Amino acid sequence: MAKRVDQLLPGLATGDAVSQEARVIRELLQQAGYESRMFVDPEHVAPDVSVDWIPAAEYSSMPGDVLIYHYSISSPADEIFLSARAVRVMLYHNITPGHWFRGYDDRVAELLEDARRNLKRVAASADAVWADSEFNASELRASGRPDTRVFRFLFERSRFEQPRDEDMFRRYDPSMTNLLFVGRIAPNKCIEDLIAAFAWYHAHLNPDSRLIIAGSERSCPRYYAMLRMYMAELGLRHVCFERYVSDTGLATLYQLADLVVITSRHEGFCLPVVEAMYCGVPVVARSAAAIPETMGSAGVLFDELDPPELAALWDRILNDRMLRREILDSQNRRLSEFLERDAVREIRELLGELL
Amino acid sequence: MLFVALMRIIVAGVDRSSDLGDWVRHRASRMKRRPLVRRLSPEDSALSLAGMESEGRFRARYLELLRRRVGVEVLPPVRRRGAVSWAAWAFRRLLWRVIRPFLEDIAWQQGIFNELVVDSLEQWARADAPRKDPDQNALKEHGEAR
Repeated sequence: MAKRVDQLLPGLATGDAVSQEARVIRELLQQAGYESRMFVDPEHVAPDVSVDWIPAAEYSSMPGDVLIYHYSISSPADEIFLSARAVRVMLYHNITPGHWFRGYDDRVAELLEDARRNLKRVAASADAVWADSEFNASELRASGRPDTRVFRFLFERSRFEQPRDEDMFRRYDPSMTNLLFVGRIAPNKCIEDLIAAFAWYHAHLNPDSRLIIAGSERSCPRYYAMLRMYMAELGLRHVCFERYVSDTGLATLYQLADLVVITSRHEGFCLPVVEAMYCGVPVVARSAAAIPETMGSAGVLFDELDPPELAALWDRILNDRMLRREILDSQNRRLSEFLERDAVREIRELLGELL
Repeated sequence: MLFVALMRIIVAGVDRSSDLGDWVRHRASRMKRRPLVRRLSPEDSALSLAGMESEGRFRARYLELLRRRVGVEVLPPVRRRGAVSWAAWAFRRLLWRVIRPFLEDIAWQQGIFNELVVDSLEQWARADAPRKDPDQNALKEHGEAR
């Protein structure tokens, strides 16, 4: 049995879903009896990161070690992974198609396109390929790795079991209807659709409402600028950008939310769906990419609704108590599937197949 | 052949596009009859920034949209239906008449400031474009159009 299972990441940031997952996987590996370290490209480590990490260039391995590479963008870590002597496992988190970033950030668009071009090469040379959703796995199976296994994205409930952030709670008066979006401010999330629908909801159906958008704008500042301009042109003062929020802040926002709304068109998993289910908030999400898989038979999925129709749907869910109950019951059933999972056993079994 | 996208609503795994979908469509069509949402033409809207082919084109379009937004308007309070709303509106209008000269002065100063900021951004972008951006034409065209 291997004693050491390390992880390699192209970057590390607080609040980033892949970074969070790597941290949880390290805990699982330690619980399963393995030594585990995290190697990261130091060029892409956010200054506020408090997790222990080692520069990727210092990685060295012994035959029999395992290296898990979190793949979501092209980076110099690709070469470290490809040349490692350890048993190499690629964990695929999906790559946002580059066209979403074209015009907003051409460099990121190129990195994403590079990552997609390299995907086949990296996957082909890995000893094993895992994906964190069936959606992501199907992409890899189609590109020549029919043996791709699914190790579903891990939900860390302890992040939501904290005292609330009183300042934030006071800032967002719970007597108003709070619609919440959680996620990076990136073009594939189609936040403009959310703002357009909210404009109709606020003007026609509920003037005592606000839309809170919680997520970092750092990955695409030009897209953020466009959203702010759009918000101003609609005269919407009740759209609040929270940008990056701490775990405590995020838990508080879910407590304040009446509805979690997602209009994203590309997601490899969509963790906020599970977070909202855990916090007991109904979810209304676009049926796109991996979202239907993550939602399962729970919450509300929509497609091809224009802004006034989406606003009307939100209004119905917020005011129809029976419908709301039905949605919450379905979400609780789905949530239990995530919570009752034995992730330590899963990772032991997956590693057992390799060694 | 005309392709019509069909609305789809799934609640707790059950397709409710027909019953809930009909309700949603009906409610939305009532709103659309008398829209209260402010809308700009597609050409003037910030959404025209989506789908630009390059950063250079985005920047040029962004500056163009900023230029169209430099002016600050001072508008009278909006009147709504109902007796209470009428009283509130009459009171606000009275206040507005009193403070209007001050508001116009602030708006004028803000307008000048906005114009200076946009002028500087345009000059900076034109100077910076040849160094940073291979797609210079968009900025050049923008400069020439003004």
